[in-house]
Amino acid sequence: MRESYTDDDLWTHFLQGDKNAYAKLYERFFHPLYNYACKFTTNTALIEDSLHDLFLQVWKSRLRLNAAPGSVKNYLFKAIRHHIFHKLKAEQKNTRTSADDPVFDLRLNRETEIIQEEQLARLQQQLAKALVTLTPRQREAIFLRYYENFSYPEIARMLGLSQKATYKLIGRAISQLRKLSIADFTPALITLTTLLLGLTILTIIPVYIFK
Amino acid sequence: MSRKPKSTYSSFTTDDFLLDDDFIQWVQHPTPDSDAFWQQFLLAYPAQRNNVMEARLLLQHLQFETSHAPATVFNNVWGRLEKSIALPAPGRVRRLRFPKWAAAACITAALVLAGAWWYAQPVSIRTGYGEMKKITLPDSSIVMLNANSRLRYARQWHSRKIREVWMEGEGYFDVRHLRRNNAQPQPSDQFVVHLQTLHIHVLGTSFNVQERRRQARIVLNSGHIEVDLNDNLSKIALQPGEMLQYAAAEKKLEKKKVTATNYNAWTSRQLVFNTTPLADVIRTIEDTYGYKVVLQDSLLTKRTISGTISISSEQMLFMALETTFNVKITKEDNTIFINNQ
Repeated sequence: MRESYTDDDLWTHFLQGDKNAYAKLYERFFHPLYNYACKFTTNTALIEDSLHDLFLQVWKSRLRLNAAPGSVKNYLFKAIRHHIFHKLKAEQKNTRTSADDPVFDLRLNRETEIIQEEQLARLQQQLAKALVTLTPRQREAIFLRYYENFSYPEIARMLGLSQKATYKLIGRAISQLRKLSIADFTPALITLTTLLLGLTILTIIPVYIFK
Repeated sequence: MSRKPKSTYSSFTTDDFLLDDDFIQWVQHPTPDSDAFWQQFLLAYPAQRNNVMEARLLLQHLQFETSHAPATVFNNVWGRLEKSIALPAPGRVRRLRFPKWAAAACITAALVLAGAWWYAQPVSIRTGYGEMKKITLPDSSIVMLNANSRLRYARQWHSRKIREVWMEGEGYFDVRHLRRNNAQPQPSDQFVVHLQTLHIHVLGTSFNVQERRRQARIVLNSGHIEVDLNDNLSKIALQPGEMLQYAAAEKKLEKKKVTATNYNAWTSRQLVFNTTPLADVIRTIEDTYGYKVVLQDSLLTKRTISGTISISSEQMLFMALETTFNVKITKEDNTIFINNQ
């Protein structure tokens, strides 16, 4: 049974031509990259081609690549973004559609209705509506920060912004989400709902551990 | 677990919490440590309860829909990659002549191997007598290498592997700390200096190391270091402003407080002495300039000096010594004679 390698370990082995490490990297990052790609387009063929081209490019340029360029995850996410944008631009030229800003379709997960509490269901709805009022860039930044947990410098690198601009972007986005969703909750209700959520999470965690 | 003191959070708005790395980490991946921290925080600053709860609530609801790739897509892409990466199938007809592509492949392979061999060779830097060099290591740490010394390290450094250098003689190290301020240091963040008689372990610090004639002297300017004496006992920690001296032959260990900057003044081409006996100064001259020193009056060894002298050139050094020690210095070939005025 193989022990668990860090991303950097796998990357280092891969740079030395280790095909098993390459396969493990593919295994580890394919689904997160696919998930990210789906936010930009619904064209599955385009997504498939982008993923293929990314991994091929990574393999081909392994002799020129550094050991762990920042973080492997950051490098791969930045690269897939580039591939997708490149293909989307080419597609737009062909179909002669107007060059819109690329979308970022971020939706709340409807399945996490742990408590069918009316107030919480309303919070979900408000939050979902609030998400739509953000710009695509803001949604992407929120996704990268709160879902993929990239650091501010990493997000800055991906979006081609300064760290300060990134911080501002995410700051305004999360502030807007807050204002449009939980701002009208009363303090007592917040405590109650958080406590309820907390208790439920405490019972759910042991279930996941034993899975 | 937050590295910031609780007081930092005492004036945070809900938005501030929502943007804070440690707060996000706690809400998304709580640990007993972080739970304790934030509970204590709320006890100490109950007015912040509302903001904390609001931020928690929002983060807990920020759960997004995920698109999972169907197995067919996963397999198709991999299948295409295998085809693109695999070598071409061998030809049907066997020719006696060496095909061009095979020759090119061999040359490329040889170049790649040569390159790989080159990268595997360690870097070795020497300073001659009276020479000083500034070396920037692959992680951007800086070493000032004093005269008559040597520094060796691997050409390529990989993250997640500890950083190591081997030194003989004297060097002043300015080691870069790998982690951001908040994060927990990993064992692989260490920087190790190997000498002949001991090993120094640091994370990110500035210190002066000297090992001559199997006697080591380490002076710490800032940060924290641990010294391993190769004796299977626990390492010795040093605090800033402390000096450790170790004589391997006698296994003699001494630790004392010093003015750290006196010991790395050589990097600015100065020497600082504090009631230093002439005997020590002679040892420095021998190690740094390679001269043999002859004292023509044995009583001279007892004389001491205090102060700063410039060593921007040999002449300056000898002139300064003549004045401060009240001696006469004459040079003949490779030997220095020191006599009374």
